[in-house]
Amino acid sequence: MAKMRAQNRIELLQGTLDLLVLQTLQWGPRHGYGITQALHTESGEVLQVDTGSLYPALHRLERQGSIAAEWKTSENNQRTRVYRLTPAGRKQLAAARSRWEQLSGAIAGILRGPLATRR
Amino acid sequence: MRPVWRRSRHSDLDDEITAHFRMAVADRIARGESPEDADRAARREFGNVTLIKETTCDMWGWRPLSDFAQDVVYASRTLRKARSFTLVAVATLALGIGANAAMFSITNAVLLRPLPFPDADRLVSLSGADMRRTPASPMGVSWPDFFDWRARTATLARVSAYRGTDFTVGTGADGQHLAGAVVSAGV
Repeated sequence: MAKMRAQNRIELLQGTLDLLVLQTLQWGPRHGYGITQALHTESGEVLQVDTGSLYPALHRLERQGSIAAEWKTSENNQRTRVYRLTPAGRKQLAAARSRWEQLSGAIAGILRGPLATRR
Repeated sequence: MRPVWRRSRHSDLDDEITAHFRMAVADRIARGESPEDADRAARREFGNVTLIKETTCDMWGWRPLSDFAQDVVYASRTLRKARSFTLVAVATLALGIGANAAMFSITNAVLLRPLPFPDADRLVSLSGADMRRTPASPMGVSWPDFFDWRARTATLARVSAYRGTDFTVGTGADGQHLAGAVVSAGV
């Protein structure tokens, strides 16, 4: 079963993790596990972000000033580190999003092939 | 042992990762997995926790510095353990450095630092020589010889004489015995 799941999993494209992390923080602060869950459900359970990629990315983004972190205690008395977007992070998200739309539009155009334009 | 300034940040990261793990296990249990299965599955999903922590720490950007601090701590502990070796090594270094410093200060005073006179590079020293010995040893010059050299020189701008001696400066209890020289006018 685990093998099946691993096969259904799609690897994240290099450089897209930052964009996705920033996107999940757009509507409010979240902790690391919350970000993983959000990406999992919002991708239709296709994306499973590796913890070993997520935490380095979070700490790098924090150091860059795109996100800020603070400690909060959850309802079941669990101390969690909660991340939120900074104004700089919001700008970075907008830029990354338009870059991604350009790229995915270009790739989609290539995949459609010359037939698509003739139709 | 970690340097003091990093300890709290490291335990923070421990807490963060642990919280993530606990929440993942709790969610799996809530979905109906047995606690053992949930724990095992979450662990498998997590992978190598130490590696995760290390890669995350790298993002802080002071890994080289903390590695160096760790090396220093390790070195000092090793040295403390091998006391006699440390003692010999330190003594050898101290003697070596001390001897070199002494040699250099002599060389500097005698050879390198110019004499405190104008055109110090044009100064020459003349002396008599005792030819009865081999090699001939330097010898003082008599006053008449000095007067003749000074009067008849064609190559030297000026000639002066000095004689090393010692003095007592001050009187009574304040008197001090000092090394000095008697020097003729015109140096």
